[in-house]
Amino acid sequence: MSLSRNQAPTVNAGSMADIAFLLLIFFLVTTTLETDQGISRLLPSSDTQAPITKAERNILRISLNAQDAIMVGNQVVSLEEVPGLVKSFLDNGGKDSCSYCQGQGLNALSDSPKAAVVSLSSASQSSYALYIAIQDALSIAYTELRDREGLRLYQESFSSMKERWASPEVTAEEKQQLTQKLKQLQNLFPQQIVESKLEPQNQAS
Amino acid sequence: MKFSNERRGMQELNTAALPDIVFILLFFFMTTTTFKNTQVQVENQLPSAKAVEHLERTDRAITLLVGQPLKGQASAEGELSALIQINDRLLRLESLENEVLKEINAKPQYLRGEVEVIVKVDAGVRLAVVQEIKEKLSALSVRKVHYVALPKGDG
Repeated sequence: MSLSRNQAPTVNAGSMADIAFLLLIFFLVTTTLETDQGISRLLPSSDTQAPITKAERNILRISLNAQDAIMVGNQVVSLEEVPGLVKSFLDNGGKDSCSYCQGQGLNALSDSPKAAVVSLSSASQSSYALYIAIQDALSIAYTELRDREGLRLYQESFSSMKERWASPEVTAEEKQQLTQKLKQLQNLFPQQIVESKLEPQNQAS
Repeated sequence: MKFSNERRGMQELNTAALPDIVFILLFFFMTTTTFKNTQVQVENQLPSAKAVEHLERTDRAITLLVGQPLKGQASAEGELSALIQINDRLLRLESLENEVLKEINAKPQYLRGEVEVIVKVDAGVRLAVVQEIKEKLSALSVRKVHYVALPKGDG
């Protein structure tokens, strides 16, 4: 026939590149690196055993007992009440001048957020789930207060700044500014949490 | 005149080598990607929390899994107490310090001073175990601890 050729027919490989690119891009996009989420805490250093020389009003005592009951101050409370109580304790604005505090300045609560310490003592038989729930409640209290100050000072909440700080598309200059702002807010409400073991009390006494 | 030998329009680019380049890229990523495939050997039902944050800088982190050993792996004596898993090894509380030190030494020199610990603790574990771990870590002056929790939506 007149149409037949002598050479072997060649496969058109032009779209091969497109296919391979699509594969590559598909895997690049669908691959997610699993990052853990959680609550970060700083453990106390082992060599300092300084006695607490704080006024009692500057310490908020939270205790968990073996039956998973929560006590804040002298009252047994439910888990939902904890963030509110912690916030009112930190934000009290007692006798120290704390211009940004919005609390009622009660005598029983802290002088200023900088002086305030949360003391968390837990029994060894309490459950880990409750412990994390309490740590979560503390984080919520601190974050909400920092959010409020962030909105007041920089028109942006603490948590959204933090998110922006961690995102990859932030520029170096922006990051530096954010770091400074975040530090500022953290200084306004420094996270001071002391943890201790709750020793089992004698039932006899 | 005869124009049959002259080409019209643009000359075509030879793209025959393009698939090879892309495939090499693909193979490069395929071979350099490593998966961490440690099997979880302890019960690990994580607690949930609202105020969770992402952990950055995982290069300096050591991950501890804490929980009851799974059914098949239950050791003879350690049935009741929670065990700790580092990588593929199951340990008891007493040997934690040694193993953590080993892990720290396996890190590059410049990271050894700022090692952080990611603890994944089963929600059912008694706090005594966690308290013990915390004491041991702070004795090693490893102070940054990250309690892994599942994010919980509002409302």
